[in-house]
Amino acid sequence: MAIFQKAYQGYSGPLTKPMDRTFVIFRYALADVFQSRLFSAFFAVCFLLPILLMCFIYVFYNLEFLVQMEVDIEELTEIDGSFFLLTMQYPQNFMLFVMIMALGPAMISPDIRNNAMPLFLSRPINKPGYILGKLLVLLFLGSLVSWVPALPLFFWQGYLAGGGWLGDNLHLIFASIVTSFIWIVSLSLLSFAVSAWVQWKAVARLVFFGILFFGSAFGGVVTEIFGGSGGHMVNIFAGIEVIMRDLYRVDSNLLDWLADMKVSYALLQFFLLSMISLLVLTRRIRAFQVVS
Amino acid sequence: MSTTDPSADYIHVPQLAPGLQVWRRQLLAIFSIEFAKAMFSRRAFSCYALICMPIILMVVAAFDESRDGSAAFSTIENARRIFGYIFSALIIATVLFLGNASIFTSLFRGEMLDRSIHYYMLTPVRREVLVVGKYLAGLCAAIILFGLCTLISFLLLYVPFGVEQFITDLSNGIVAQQLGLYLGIVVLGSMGYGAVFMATGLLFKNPLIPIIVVAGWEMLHFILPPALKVFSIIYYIQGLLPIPMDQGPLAVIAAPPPLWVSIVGMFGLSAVTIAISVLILKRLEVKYTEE
Repeated sequence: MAIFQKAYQGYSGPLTKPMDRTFVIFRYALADVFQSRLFSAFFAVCFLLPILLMCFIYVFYNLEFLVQMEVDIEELTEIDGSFFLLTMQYPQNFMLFVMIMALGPAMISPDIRNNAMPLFLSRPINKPGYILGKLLVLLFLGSLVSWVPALPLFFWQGYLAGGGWLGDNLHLIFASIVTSFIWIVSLSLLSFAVSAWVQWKAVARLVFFGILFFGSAFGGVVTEIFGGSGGHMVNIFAGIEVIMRDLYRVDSNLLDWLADMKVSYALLQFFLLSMISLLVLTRRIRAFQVVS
Repeated sequence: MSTTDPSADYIHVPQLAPGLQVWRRQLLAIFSIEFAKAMFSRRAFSCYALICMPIILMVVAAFDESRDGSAAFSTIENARRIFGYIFSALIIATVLFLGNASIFTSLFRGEMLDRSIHYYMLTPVRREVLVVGKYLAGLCAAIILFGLCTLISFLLLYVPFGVEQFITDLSNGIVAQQLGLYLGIVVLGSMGYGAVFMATGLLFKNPLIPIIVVAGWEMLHFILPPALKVFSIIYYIQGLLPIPMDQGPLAVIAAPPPLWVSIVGMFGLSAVTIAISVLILKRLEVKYTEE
């Protein structure tokens, strides 16, 4: 072959679908996550709550058992949106927060610190594909500990309650899925942004916790001094509270603490948080790095 | 080989006999390095961001005039009460806590992450001198940063009322008394939190868990019984607030400790924690691959 014919030629064979390449990132990141025994134990513990709630619902409708235990049936609270919000969604949100705080800040930083970004992005994987691959891990695991176990609970309750309970409360399914998705995506993107910026895993976790902790306190102080909903805009715990309350259609004074903020503002808050996080991520994730 | 090797004459070994003078020189050297790191390194950015927040809030409150025709600082008493609230809820609870966590955790853990702690370990410096030098540097940086934040925020309180009000309060002794207490709280808080976070930075590979545990404990101290309140740092410093804050209906009321108890308590905590840190450091085996 003549030497001029040995010049670079682009690959002309069959290409995999873009999503297949994203799933490669997802597969490897997921495998990394389960290398930690502590996380595996935590993940298993997350399933205890739905199992306990399933048992509770069964006992709730088992009149013979309740009579034997001498429980005053009239004193039992009704199982409705408020019940699921308090006993299921709140604890699940907390577990999601812990899970994302443990995993999210450690997902991007090692790749940047060890100068691996050029290696990733020189393959047929672009920035959105890389971010989506990492995000899918948290979405997948987060879904498994939030709305996925919630669905059987709703069906179980609907089956035992009968009388069209499920038809009357179909909004709970939507509420559980949407709340979990908003919480997982926004927290994950924030944790990725911190991870891309800070680089050290331990410090990134600390910064992630600090941002949310400080935002919550700062928002509370601003609301106390100036009133209005401005302070709640920097407190994502207030934002998710407002969204949950609206989606689950529960009494506003359920927990005797309500953020005076419109749902649209709460949604805007999460949208802005995600956009800012994505902006930081796209600036930090680059196909070239100054190797130090 | 002759014992009077002429080449040995050219090796100048500094005549430094171990003692107070050497330790003082080493302490000053460590202090200056660590102080510069705590004040001007990239990690200090988080502290500067933190201290800006209360100042921004005070600036906004000082110039706020739009709400129902009444300003946030309608009267000087109201302004002092609002500053007291900001100091209690924002400066102590978050700025001081997170800032000290950032400064003191990175004294040792940061060096391990940067893979530079072995430089200190290889120098002929006693571990006691190293720990005290680092602690004092962190403490000075924390006092300067958070003290400055408190001072600026306090002075902003007088913006709507003018210099006359400030001079009146200064001559009445209100400024000296209140500002003295606020700055004293910053010093004691930095000592207490700093000591705890320096030790946790040495003890734990992931300092987030102890920080969350300490944060949870400090946040819940108001519902703790008096016997358990004594184990929280906030108990010792909150009692010194010139304008006590309402802790809510669930709070378990306990008598605040006297001033001398707060001071002795924080000094004692610092001494004990420094001693523990020295012990840990003497047994420390650095393995960077595990970080």
